[in-house]
Amino acid sequence: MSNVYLHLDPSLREQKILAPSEEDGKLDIDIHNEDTFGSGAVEEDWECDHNQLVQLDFPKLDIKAQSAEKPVPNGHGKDMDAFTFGPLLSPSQLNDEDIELSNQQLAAAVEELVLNSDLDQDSIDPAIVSLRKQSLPSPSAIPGTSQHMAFPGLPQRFSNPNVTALFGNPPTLFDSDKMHHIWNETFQQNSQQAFQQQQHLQKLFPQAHNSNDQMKFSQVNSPDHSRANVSTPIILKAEDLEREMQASPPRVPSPLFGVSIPKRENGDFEDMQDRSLPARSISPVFGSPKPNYMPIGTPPKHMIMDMMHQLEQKSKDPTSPGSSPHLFGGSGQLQRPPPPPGIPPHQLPFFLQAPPPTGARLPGHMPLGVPPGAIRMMPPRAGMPFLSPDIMHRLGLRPQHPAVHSPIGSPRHFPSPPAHILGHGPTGPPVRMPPAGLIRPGMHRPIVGFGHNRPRMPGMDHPMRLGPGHLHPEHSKYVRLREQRRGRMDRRGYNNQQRMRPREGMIGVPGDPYANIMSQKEKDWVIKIQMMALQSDRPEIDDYYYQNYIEHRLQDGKLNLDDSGKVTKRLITPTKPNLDNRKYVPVQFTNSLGKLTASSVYNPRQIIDIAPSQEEETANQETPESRQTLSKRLVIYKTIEKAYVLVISLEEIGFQLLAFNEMDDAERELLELEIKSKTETLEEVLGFNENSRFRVHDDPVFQVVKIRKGKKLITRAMNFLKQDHAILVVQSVFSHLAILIKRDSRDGVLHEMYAPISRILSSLDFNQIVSLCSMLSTFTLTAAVRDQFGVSLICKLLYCGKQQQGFDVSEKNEQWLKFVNGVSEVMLSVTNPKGTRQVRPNIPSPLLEDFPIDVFEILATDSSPTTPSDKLRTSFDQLIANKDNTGLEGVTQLEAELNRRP
Amino acid sequence: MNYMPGTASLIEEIDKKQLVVLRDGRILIGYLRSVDQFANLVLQNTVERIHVDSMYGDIPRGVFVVRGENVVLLGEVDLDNEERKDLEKVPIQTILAAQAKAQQEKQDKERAKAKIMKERGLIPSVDQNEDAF
Repeated sequence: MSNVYLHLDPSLREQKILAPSEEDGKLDIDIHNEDTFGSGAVEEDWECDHNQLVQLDFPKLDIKAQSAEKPVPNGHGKDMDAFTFGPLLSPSQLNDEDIELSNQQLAAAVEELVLNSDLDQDSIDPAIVSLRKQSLPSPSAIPGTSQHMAFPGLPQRFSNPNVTALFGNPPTLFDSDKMHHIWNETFQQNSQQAFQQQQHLQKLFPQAHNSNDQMKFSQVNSPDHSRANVSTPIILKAEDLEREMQASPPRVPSPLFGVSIPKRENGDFEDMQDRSLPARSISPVFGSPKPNYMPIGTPPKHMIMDMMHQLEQKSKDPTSPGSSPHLFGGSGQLQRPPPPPGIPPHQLPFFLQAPPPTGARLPGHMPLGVPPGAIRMMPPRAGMPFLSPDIMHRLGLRPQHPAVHSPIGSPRHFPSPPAHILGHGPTGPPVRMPPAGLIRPGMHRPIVGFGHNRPRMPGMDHPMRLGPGHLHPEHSKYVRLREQRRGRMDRRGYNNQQRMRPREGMIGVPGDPYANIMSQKEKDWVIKIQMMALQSDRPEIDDYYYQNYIEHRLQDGKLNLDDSGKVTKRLITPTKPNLDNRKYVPVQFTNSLGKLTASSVYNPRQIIDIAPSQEEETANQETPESRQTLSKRLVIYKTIEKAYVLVISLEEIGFQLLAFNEMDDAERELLELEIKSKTETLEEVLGFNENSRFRVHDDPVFQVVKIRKGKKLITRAMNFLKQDHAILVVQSVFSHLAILIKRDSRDGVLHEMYAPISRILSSLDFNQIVSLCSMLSTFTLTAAVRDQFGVSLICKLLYCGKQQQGFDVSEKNEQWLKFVNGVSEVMLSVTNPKGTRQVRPNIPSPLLEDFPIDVFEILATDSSPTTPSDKLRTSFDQLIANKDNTGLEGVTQLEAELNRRP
Repeated sequence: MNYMPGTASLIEEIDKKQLVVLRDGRILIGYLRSVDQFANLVLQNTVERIHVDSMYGDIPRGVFVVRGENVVLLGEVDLDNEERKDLEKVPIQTILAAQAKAQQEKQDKERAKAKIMKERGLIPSVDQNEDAF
């Protein structure tokens, strides 16, 4: 049956007859999987995985396995009904179906063991590969088909009635030939396989009650037929255990977490005083499935992952002993002399070294409550050859040194057998020991015999502090605490009973074992917290009464004098407020304006801090990438903000210059220098440089001007800009005039730009004016003429152009005339859309300030052939006529309006 | 001689035998093992001591975790003078019986007092503290 772990000949498998219960078995597996890991946790097809995984085995072993498999008889099914588990549990029904099913079960377990096992066998975890190499048996060690036993003495121990009395039936397990097969193979396998087989071993337990059949079976199949029959008193059947578990999970105070404690018929529970937590039968990781469906000891997936990881590490560890398979032989012998004392632990049979993998995921028939002593007959040496103790521990296997690191709370517990079992050989005197299986985990059992006398492995005196499996963090802390205590006492050599209860007298005296449970670090932490409450950077507010009191005392001059003269206790206070290292640094994420606070003991909760941090600003300046990551709009806002700061400071300096007329030349120079430098900075901020040209499509000024605040900024900044840059601004405004006017309908701040722009226009020469005119399309003109600001600009432009216009007939002049004609047409069509001669009264009044009457006069007199000169002339005549009446009025209106606006 | 602020001063008392009086009047005696900033206490080998007249009895409580807000006072037990001659230690059953008896007497007294007061038109105030015992 052990062969089910090994690769089966495909032909063998093909011949199999589907057992009727196989489907049920699979269903059970799925149910268990779901119960264990939560629904959906095991979604992969474990059967598929298995089929791939079995390929990992060595062909050589496969052959051997098959050969060992063949003689399995098929006639022992009569005890089948005793089981509720299905056909698999009966060894007598060991046939191909069972093998197949076992393979599947195995696959389910291995699926988790091997990460991403859907890879082919070459690409599996390198750790496994290396381990496989490592564990390759030496040629002499491979016994081939032999059932040779390297440790003839061991089974004798197992057959010892004392053992069975203490451990229940499981020793029969070792008599089973199947088991020999298992271990025969196992020790040649890599750790993974060993693990699987141990899983299977567990599965075998339920059969244990069937020991008579098994024995026959073993004898029949064993090459060594000289094996004596064994007395195998059955104390508790596995099915009873399971039934008991399902009915009511035992709530007896038990140190064996997650392990059903088999009831002893002799009832020697001696550890009732242990007030450990109640048994937890399930993996705590995926919630709490129903216990009655729960394969106890099923390791959660992550444990296996961890195990594999550590396996890898272990395999790299040169100090970790490799497997030493050559001494291991499946033994059909029952009466064997005890092994020599002090035998190196790595020479122990594998099944003694490595506890059974209770972590196996087995379908439906999980041997609940495997009697602990049944499997773990030996204090393990430095662990399984392949598994680090930590892994063993995580798997719930008993770690190497059973004494010190307590698997309290570990889901499984495999106590070592009592010393008088192991130590009744010639080497060791019997030692009074508490019964196995009831031994409190973590108790140190000095194993007399090879267990105890064996050479100590490095690190055994200070055994690894194992993370106690998948425990709750707090619980594992507790466990560690207990371990430490135990460990301390162990070193003192107390016996178990002493260790069970710290003596009363110990407490409070220097040897108090519980002293310093609160570590210095924890104490410091408390002190720090209390001190923090006294730290203040504004004591006059936080500590008003104390400060007042001290002041009064100071005034009285008796701060340091005690009234009574006695020495009184003084409060220790923090020497100085140490706030800088606790400075609150808000968290900021990209593209977020606000900042999140992470509050803690040291950082009490604060409201959201919007102020940008210094680092962020510098970072923005330094890296253009970060600038791009911010949204464009944000960049413009920031630009405006920066420019505004500069403009304001420039204006302030300007006021200073104006205010202090009698200022020294030096001071004045200084201020002017400052103005100059700030202006340069401002121009830099606004995107101007020495030879910047106006580009319609890449116009930083337009981006700024689009925003309301930006218009105001530009209005104010134009007072400081250089002429070139100011012209750029004007060009930008003119080229985007239609858009600006449209956008300004809400803001209403565009008119503020009129004054600086008109100032610039006045200073332009004719060529520049003509180029400006070329930027104004008919569409723009139409839009501009309808708007107060736009029409003002155009009139100003016309006026300036008229003044600058030469009388030579040049290209520029022609362009200018063309523009004037265009304007006049647009104006006419806007002011007199229906072609009537009546000029509408709503002539924009701001035009009247610098109203280019003469321009219109020019237009009227000097009309081109395309111009409807009559209409124009009359219109302009009317305009000119009106000017005298409404002109002054309009100007005052404009001024009043400008003053009203902010 | 200086002391720490707040519960930090309790750190001095760790691993010493302490007597703690809780808000409900219970008296605990045990070894202080751990404290925190809230004055939550962990007492080990705790006994709850009940005093009735000149008798007292100890109920073993084991490890006792006390929420800090329930602590009225805490003081170190003078180990040298722990045994007082004027107090007699009695078994638990005895002290419990005595305590029950004392409480009964007290209740009867209160009831009688309340009755008398009620006859004279006074409504007695309920003393909550007495209920806790």
